[in-house]
Amino acid sequence: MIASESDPAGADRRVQPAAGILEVRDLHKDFGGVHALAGASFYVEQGTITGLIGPNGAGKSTLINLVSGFTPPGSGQVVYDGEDITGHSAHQIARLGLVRTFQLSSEFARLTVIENLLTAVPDQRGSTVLAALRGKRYWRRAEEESVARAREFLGRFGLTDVEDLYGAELSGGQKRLLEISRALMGRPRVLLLDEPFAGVNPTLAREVEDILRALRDEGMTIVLVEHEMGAIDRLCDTVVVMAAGTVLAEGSMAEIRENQEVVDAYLAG
Amino acid sequence: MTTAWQFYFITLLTYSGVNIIAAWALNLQYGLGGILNFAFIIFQAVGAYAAAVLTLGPAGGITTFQTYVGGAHLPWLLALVVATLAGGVLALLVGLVALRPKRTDYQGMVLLTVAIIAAVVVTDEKGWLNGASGLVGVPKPFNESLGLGLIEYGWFYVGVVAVAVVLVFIVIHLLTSSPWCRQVRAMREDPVAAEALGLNVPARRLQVFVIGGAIAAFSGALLVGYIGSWSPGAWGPGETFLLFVCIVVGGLGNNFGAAVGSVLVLTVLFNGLAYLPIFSYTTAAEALQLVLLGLIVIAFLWFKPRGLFPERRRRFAFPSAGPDRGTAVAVEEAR
Amino acid sequence: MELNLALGFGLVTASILALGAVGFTLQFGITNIFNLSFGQVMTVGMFAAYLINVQGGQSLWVGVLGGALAGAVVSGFLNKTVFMPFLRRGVSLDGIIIVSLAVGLVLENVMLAFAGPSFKAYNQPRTHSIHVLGMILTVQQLLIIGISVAALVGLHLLLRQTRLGKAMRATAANAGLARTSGIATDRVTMIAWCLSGALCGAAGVTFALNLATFDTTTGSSLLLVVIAAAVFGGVGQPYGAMLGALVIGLATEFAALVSPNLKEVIAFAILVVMLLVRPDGLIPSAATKETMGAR
Repeated sequence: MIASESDPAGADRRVQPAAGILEVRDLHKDFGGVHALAGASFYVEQGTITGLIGPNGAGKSTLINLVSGFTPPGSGQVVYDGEDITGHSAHQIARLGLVRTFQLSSEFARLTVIENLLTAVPDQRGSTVLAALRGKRYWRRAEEESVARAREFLGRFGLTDVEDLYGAELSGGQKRLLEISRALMGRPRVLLLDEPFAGVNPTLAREVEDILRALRDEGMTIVLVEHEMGAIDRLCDTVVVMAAGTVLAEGSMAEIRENQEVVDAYLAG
Repeated sequence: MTTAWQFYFITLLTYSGVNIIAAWALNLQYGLGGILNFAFIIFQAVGAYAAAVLTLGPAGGITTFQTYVGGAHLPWLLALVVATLAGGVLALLVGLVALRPKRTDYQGMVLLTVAIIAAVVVTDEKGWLNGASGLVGVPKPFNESLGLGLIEYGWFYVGVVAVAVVLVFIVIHLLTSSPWCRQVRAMREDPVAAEALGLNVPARRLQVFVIGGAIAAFSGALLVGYIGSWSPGAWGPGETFLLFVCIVVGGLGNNFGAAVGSVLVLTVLFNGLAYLPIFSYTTAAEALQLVLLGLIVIAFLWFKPRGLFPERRRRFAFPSAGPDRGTAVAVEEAR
Repeated sequence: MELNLALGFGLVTASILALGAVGFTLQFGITNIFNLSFGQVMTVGMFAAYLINVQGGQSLWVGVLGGALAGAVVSGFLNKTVFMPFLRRGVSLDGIIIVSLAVGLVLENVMLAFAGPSFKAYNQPRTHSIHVLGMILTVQQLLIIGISVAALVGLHLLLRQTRLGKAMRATAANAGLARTSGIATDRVTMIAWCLSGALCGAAGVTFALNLATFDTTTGSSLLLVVIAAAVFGGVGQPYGAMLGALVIGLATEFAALVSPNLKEVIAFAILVVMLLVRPDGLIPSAATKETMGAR
């Protein structure tokens, strides 16, 4: 499953064999003297759902920003699929298949729903200047295929009816769905979801949970930051508890509940 | 029609064509790309200067009264191409610096400052492009070989500009109807989210900036071929604002709107009055015209922020199952 | 000798810039918009002082006060009738810049239509020069420095010692939080615009006074230098703006020793470099640091 383990020689960019598809090693990050991350380490197995929990200010958002390339790291390493991606730019990381969503909805307001999805197709034909100048004939076929694929996702997320609405015209819940389906259009291998259930009504949230579970069963790896413990409990194979910029505990939800330290620091509070 | 009136319409039509091209370029940069290019006019200026010096011939000789660098006797079409490239190169250099801040309003401030520095430097350095007096006596394209009278030549040049407008429209249309432009618009809406989806936002911004800069320069080269002179007075930061007014009025992100806006604002409201053969212009009249212009912008941004012709909502026709798959792609709906 | 002269002129320029830059930054700190009509509001101040001084026959120093008052009224009026409504509508910061340019265009050309394109000058009493520490300054120039210092000390006391000042600082740091803690942010914003306008008007009059003549475009020609000073110290930070004014004031006057043409260019170069390298200025505030990272 993990190439690096069966490949002792290693390619140039290989670092120490990674324990999972995504591994975070001793990450540090300071913001003007505040230690947002102070040595966070954990790993994520392929094909699992990992929940990242912890009180506000524990460093979850900083961690996501750092892993996805939006914040330059202080020190430490991010290893994705056996490759050290620390310090890569955000779009490079996304292209490698590590795609994130945002806490605040970030739909493209003046693009239609289906255009939102089409934007995410990697190397869409006609998305370079020269290809655009070759005209519709050159990219029409590929565009049709992407439209068809986008419609599959829209169907899956119940957005078919709003295909032609602008992003700004959707409800809060629909925007979250749009964002997840848009991320999926990029054919990610790892999906980083920053509070995907915020502002989503419970019924819809359950549907999203089902979709996420189905995606995992298809082999997708999902990491999510979430405050709603019920969802974490139902969804996650592994839970990583963060506090004060470090990882306090790691394990299944049942194990976490047993952990007195965690209960004291977080769950009980 | 009297000669004066013919001349009036020739001037008006030439300016309109040039302005439509410029408005399309700015619309690409700001309307679609979200780049607040307050330096737009310097790209038109560089095209005009390049076309001027490349056709004026080497400095000295009969043109000793003006000094400039890079003089040559290039055929006009070649000069036009080089001028266009010069705009692209300048945009690349400026863009590499000015587009670095993350906030687009900061980018706009840098660009505004660059525009003012450029005007100060070109005005002060008399040796480069003849300073504040500017360049005069720029040869009229094809004039010698055609041997037409003044008015006939004027109508000929209107034709040249019309061809140029069509050419630029084809390029702009190909670009703005493509998947590339969809990504450009996404970047305008939310650059951070676009980056998270794997789009190289800085690179794409630069592409938009360079293409817009080249087209702006192209428009400048066309303009100087008609008026025959070019000086810092023609390209103050205020001129950039006029083009912003055009695209705000016409509709940000809509090429048709940009063209209509430039005709309404610049041809009808501005040049239409300024070049009327029967109208004597006073400072107060000009000032009130600008007051009106400012009020129009504010009124539009308040009452009709999307302009007369808002950006079109692109719909995708349902793919047909049959062998003819030709109808499936974006059908634009005019709203 | 020349250096001392330049130092003197530099201090005068810095005093004028400080008024403008602090005014600009005060308003920017609270609203976060690049108000490019600020230059024309400076010109309004110049003309108000002209009316009082030349047409009304009053002392020039009454004119300075009048200019400040006019700046405050116009600035407050623009906030109330234009900027606040647009902000309430959620117009983007880019859109607001275009609005501010349009407002500036209207102001400038209304003045042009009434006052014409000719240069104006104040009635200044002829005074002798005074030698201070090797610098040669006129009485007017010393008074400009005095006005500036007095205004800034007053502002400092206002910001640090009064409830209003505290409310203003809170609103600048985080308007949402300030509102929820019971601060009437709309009123605070309005007061900030008026104060900003007063400083702006005073900057305009003192600038015109130092320049000897002015016309309807004088304020807008000063605008970018003022913004350069404001950005240098970190936009939104009054004390940074004072520092920026000092640095830019001295830098421009010393650059003028080399070549008069360099004067503006050096200020613009500083502005560009600051926007590129340290968009938060030399002294970034805690608030800007938080917003620097991705969401």
